[in-house]
Amino acid sequence: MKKSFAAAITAAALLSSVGIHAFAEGTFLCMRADESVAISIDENNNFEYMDMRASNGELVYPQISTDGNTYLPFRYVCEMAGLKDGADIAGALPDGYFRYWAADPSIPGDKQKIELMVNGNYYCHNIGESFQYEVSPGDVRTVSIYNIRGSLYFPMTYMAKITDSQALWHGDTGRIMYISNTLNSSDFIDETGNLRRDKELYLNFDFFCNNLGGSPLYLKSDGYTISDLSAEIEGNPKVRSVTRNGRSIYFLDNNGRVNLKIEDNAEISLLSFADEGGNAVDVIADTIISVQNKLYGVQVSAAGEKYGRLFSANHDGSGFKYLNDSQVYNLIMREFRGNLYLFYCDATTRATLHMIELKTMDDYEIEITNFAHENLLSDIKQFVIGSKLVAYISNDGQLHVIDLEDNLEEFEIIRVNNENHKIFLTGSDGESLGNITSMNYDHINEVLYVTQVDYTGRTYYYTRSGDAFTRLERSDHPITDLALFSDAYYNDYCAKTVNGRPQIDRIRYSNGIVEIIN
Amino acid sequence: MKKFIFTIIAVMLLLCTAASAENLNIAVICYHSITDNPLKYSQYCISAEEFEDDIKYFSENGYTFLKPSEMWYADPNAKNIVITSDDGYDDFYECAFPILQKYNAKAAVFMIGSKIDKHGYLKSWQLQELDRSGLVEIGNHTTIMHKRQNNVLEGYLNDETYLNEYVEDIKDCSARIYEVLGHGTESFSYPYGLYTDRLERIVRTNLGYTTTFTTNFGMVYTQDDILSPMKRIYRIHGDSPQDIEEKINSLKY
Repeated sequence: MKKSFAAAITAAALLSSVGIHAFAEGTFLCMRADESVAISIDENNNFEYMDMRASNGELVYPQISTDGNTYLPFRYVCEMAGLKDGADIAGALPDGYFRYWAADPSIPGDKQKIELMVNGNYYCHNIGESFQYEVSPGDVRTVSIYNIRGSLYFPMTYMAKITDSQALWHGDTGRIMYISNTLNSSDFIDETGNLRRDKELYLNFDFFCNNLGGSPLYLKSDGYTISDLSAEIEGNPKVRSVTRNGRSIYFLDNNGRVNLKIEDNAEISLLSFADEGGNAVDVIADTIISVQNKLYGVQVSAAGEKYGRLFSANHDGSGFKYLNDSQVYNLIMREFRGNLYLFYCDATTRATLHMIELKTMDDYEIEITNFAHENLLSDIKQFVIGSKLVAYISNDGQLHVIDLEDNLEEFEIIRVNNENHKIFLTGSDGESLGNITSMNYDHINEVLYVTQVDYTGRTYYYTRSGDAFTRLERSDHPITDLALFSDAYYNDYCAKTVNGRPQIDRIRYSNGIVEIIN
Repeated sequence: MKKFIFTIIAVMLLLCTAASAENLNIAVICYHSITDNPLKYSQYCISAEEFEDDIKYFSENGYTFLKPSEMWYADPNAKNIVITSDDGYDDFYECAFPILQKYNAKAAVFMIGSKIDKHGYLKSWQLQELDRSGLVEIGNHTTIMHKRQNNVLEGYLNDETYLNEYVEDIKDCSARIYEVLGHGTESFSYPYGLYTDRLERIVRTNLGYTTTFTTNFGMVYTQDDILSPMKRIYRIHGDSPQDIEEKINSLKY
């Protein structure tokens, strides 16, 4: 079966014209329901993000029916599995082909249908007509093939069955996996059915590791090696806001220009931007974040400026557009409950946070008040957002922590008691917590880190259970920023720029206590 | 003179009693999502075909479609029906509205305030178009209370602090609807149908709502019933219009 499937794939690859993806080494797809972005691998086992599109160019989305079956966009998955469209073929369908037939109005009762010829087996189903199949012994599903607004949807496990592939759904992350049996699934997913963590790091899924704000550091795609980007560039320039899309590393130089470097390749180029009409756009940025083939950032009027306009562009700089009309700052990315969100602060009020859900691009204003509807945010210099707290430094140097309690399901409007909003003036060591200049949030362990830039270079951490800022270490040199990493084995690292040089400490979080262990 | 005044008052009271006792037999049908995506069908998410079957059937079988604001003036001799849809999904505009227009049928949409202009929900321009059509009344379904879990919401109703928050939330939704439509709304649907007498009094007396709806199963028999949270009949996926009519007839006095 495997061999014949591989033969069909190979035949399809040989026959395929430009634009048909036929993977000789098999198919790996990782998708989320209602999202148009899939992760796939190419012939060299390189992961990449792909937009899922129908033949008419429209974005298509996997869907989960209310009876629990997963449905995949038919054409997209057929083509990814190496099958070829046989629309122009008259008569019998050759092996490795699929075909759609519209209903013939001249034939009474004729219905639209699909055909597949895979491994010498012929499959034909009328659209909208239910049929049964056995996924595994005893697991009989009743499904249909649907035409939903012009896109055909095919039951995933049935597609996996007839193409001799595996279909997996991971409820915790909402990820859907489609893996041909010519691949060793453990190369891609771990024993829990999740995408393997080093693959996630490679794809820049893990924002704990790769949204480093002011840091020049990044975790290489092996999932273990931390690299100082400035050391990799001739002349050792200052770089910051490092972010990655696959093997492409983006960063900002001193002039606020977006640079692109391919991992393990010394060559660096300035990224050119063009709007959707193809017109060049001059971009000086304060922050950039790359995710799922897109680049998001804050475009400022001059290098060093903090406030600017929020933009998005494709990973190659094309398709530049502004996401709103406001002046914004402090752009961060977070993942909650399997969805990706951009957060930013409105520069006009400096007291309003916004959240953009990347799946829909809906922009929500987040209202965080007490029950008297008084805003608990004011004069924000920098904020971080966790699943259970929001913390910010005000421009007067005060350190605010707001415990969100049970408001997690409701990010747009959060109401808490006054006691949930605390301003910390001293650390647990009795020292003043003034002059806090940067903060970072470990969303895996739910630990907040803050750094003081003075001549003592203190770092403190905060947990909800401890409800105090505990001194992490004593340093003799000023720290100018602090970033957090975890590697493919979930080892945590605290990376700092100390006296202009990177210093990386391995840290361990256990029972509410953070320790430096090297 | 005194006798005359007493007589007038007595006549008025009698008239009122007679009016309130008059059997209106208004069936309020509760819909949620109405979709053309068969993968989304569920108990409370019906197909556009099912919706059309309902409206066509009611239209052809002599029912009078009313908006909530028209219930008070319902003709007791008519077969009165109110079509309501909770939450404000955008499929109401895409799938249900064209059918309402086709059959000139009236309905009400109870909008979750925080969902206006959000993915999957009605956009401002759609709400405006529905409102302008004269066929659809836009009602209040709270701004964020709907997203609280059932048990959390029940707790809110019995705690004074949270009750105030609930009331503020209704006002917030009202303001959002006003901002979109340029006018307010007097119809309110309780999320999950949950309410207390105290909340109902506040909604009616302090906030000025004239029609409120719960999800309890039943009919609106008299004008008295319009003065309290009105019961509805859930429209379940798979039911036929005849099934609904059967429920209506079984509930009628």
